[in-house]
Parts: sequence; C-alpha cells; structure tokens
Amino acid sequence: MGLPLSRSRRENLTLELANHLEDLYAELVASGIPELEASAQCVEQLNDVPQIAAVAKRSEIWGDAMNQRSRTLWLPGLITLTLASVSLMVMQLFTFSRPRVHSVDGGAVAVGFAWLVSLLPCGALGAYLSRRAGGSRWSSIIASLFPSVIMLAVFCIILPIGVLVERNTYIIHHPRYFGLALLVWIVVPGSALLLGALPVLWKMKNRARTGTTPHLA
Amino acid sequence: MAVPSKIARGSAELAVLALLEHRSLYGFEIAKQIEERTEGSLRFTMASLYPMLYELEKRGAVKAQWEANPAGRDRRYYSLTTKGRKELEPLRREWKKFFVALDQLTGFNHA
Repeated sequence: MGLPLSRSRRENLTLELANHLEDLYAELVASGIPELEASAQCVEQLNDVPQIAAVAKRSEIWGDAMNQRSRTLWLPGLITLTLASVSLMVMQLFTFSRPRVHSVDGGAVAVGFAWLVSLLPCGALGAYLSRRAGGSRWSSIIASLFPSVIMLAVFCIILPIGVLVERNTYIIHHPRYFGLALLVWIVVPGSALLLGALPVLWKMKNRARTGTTPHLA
Repeated sequence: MAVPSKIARGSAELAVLALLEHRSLYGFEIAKQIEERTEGSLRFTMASLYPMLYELEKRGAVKAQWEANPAGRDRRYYSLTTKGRKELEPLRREWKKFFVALDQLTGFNHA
C-alpha cells in the first residue's frame, strides 16, 4: 500500500483496517446487499488508507522509531558533543586559537579560551534541540552539558580503575594535576556550555509561566 | 438524514468518548454502535473514524490494546483513560450548553 510507516506499525494498521473492512463486508452482505456491491463499497474505502496512515504516523502510536528520550536527550546531546569536539579540532588547526599548555604537578593542562567561547553556541543548540523536541528543563540542561557529562563519565571510569585496579603511581602521586584536569575538562567547559544554554532555558521558563505551551483539549 | 459535516465532526469526538465510557470497543463496533444509537445520523467511514481514534490515542484520552480472539480475528480494543474521563464531562457540558443556546435562539425543540 506504500504507507509511510515502519514495518511493525504498517502491519498493525493494515490488520486493524483489514478487520474493519471484513466486518463491514459481512454486515453489508447480511443486510441483503449483493456480494459484488458490498465488496465494491469496501474497496472504495481503501482510497482513504494513505490518509489514515498519515495520521497514524503523525500520532506516533504503536511505538515510534525514535523514542521520546532519544529525541529530547540523546540526539541533542550527541550533536552538542560532536560540535564541541569538531570545534576543538578546528581551534587546534589555527595558531592564534590553539589552547595554551600549562605545566602543573608534573603534567600538562591545556586551556583554550577560543574553544570555550565556541562552546556557548554548542550549549545553546543542545538546549534548543532538546526543547524543540518537547524535552523537560532537565533534559535540555543535560543535552547542553553532554560533552562535560561524557568527560565526567570517562574520569569516573579511568580514575578509580587507575587507582584501585592498576595501582597507577602517577595518578596516586599527582592528585593536583588530576584535580586541575577535572576542572579544565569538565567544570570550565560545562560552565561555558551552560552559559550558552541559559537564554534557551530562560525562554523555556518564561513560556511555561505565560502558558504559551500548547495544552490538550 | 445525515447531520451536516461540521456539526458531525465536532460531536463525533464526544460520541466516541461517551461510548467508550462504560466498555472498551474495537473500531468497527464503535462505528456501528454510534450509527445504531443515532439512527444513522452519525455515520463513520474508516477515514473519519480511525484518524480521530489515533488522535485521541495520541492525546492520551483513549488507549488501545490488541486482544487475541481464539474464535476469530484479533481486535484492537479502545478504552477510555482517566484523562479521557476528565475530558468527557466538560465536553458534555459544552455541547449541552450549545444546544440549550441553540434552542433558545431557534426554538427548535418546540417546533
């Protein structure tokens, strides 16, 4: 039938409509209408199937290919992460915007102000995409902070494994360095991302207050 | 005689919600019962019934569930949700108010 639906949704819709037509046919025949005419009336209703399928697709029933959490959190978050990573790569290509490397506690920490500035629109975009998909305020915040959240997760995995499992003496003897790295790679970029997201979050708050969000029925 | 389409569309939602208030029904049953109870004034085709049911489902006013039927075909039964019940009462009041107003204006009840 060429319905614009995923396979499972198409099967469900087809089954429901086919059942309807079979019931209709049986009823028409039972009421004394000749079989040929009854089947013609049923076939005529098939013309409406694409229109019904379009509503079924728009209604997002029978499960959607992408669920609500994917649309409001994972996808905006991944876009923010990708943009933040790409902007870091681009910044490193240009001498004027390369991160400054500081030596701390036997290690090196890179601080890139240009990159931090580029994180402002990244955070704003993450929050906007999440909001546009109907995400809650928390979804928008997490989507905008996604690069920092990922870095925090990496630190939370690497540091305990390094200290407790591998007994890595470098990590054990340079806590200041890792503390600073935590600040430079998580807290500071996170602040920049959040700063960028604030106007979007602010707008969201105002919309909720003024009641412009659509309500049902 | 069929009721003109605009009024029928507006009242169709109320008719479906009211019908599902007491028991769950599948699509064809909904259409058939509405036609029988309104003596043919309200008639649903597939194109008018299912889009409305899917919109109501999306809105959370009704929920649908496939039920296996060993004797025949599996059916997708629609039932009213708590949200649908909450929507039904104000909808009833609105329509009642509308008909009372129309009655006052035209006196069609006394015609």
